[in-house]
Amino acid sequence: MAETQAPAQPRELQFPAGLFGFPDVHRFQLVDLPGAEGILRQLVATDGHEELAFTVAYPFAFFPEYAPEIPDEELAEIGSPATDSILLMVILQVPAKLQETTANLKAPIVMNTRTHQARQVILSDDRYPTQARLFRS
Amino acid sequence: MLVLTRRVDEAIIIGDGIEIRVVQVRGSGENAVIRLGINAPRNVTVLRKEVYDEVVAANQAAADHGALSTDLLQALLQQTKPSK
Repeated sequence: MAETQAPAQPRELQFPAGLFGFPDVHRFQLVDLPGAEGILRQLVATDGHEELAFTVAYPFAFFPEYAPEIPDEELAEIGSPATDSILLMVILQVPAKLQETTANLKAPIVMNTRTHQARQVILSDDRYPTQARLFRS
Repeated sequence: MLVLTRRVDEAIIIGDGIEIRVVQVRGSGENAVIRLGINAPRNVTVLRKEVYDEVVAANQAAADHGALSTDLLQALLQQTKPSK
């Protein structure tokens, strides 16, 4: 089960390297969705990029067997957080047909919950696609 | 783009500490397959370009430009709850 705390205040996240394809957007707010219990959140850009947002999911709620290996060098970029200070998220593609929503398991976002630094990591593991169906139809 | 000619077991150096070596060439012409060996510092990410491009495309497709639909998110949330 995902984190069970009530929706918290939006958290300001720093992406020193941006996201792939968005290298110049460094600051996002992580916004909890009421009732989602941390399973779904919104990542909303700030600093003049407010029109840019992503829907992100807690991957283990949907893919219990998901076991991404984040290299230490990647974690070092966000302050080498301890295991209990890491929050993993995956970016969703949400089409008009919600049943066809996909998650990017190939490039998760890893966040240091102490420092609020975050980074998108491309896994070397070829098992994980960029578009994994969220729902079994 | 800078284009260099290298033979098997020859290498190029990029910057301070990135080495790319031609390890093996199989076949010829458009069917040629070239194996490259890469020596780089551990903090340098090495990716097949098509993987990088795929992730960029996925991010761009996932980016929600414009107003976020709370209704859509709530509908998505409902989908995540087991219906049975």
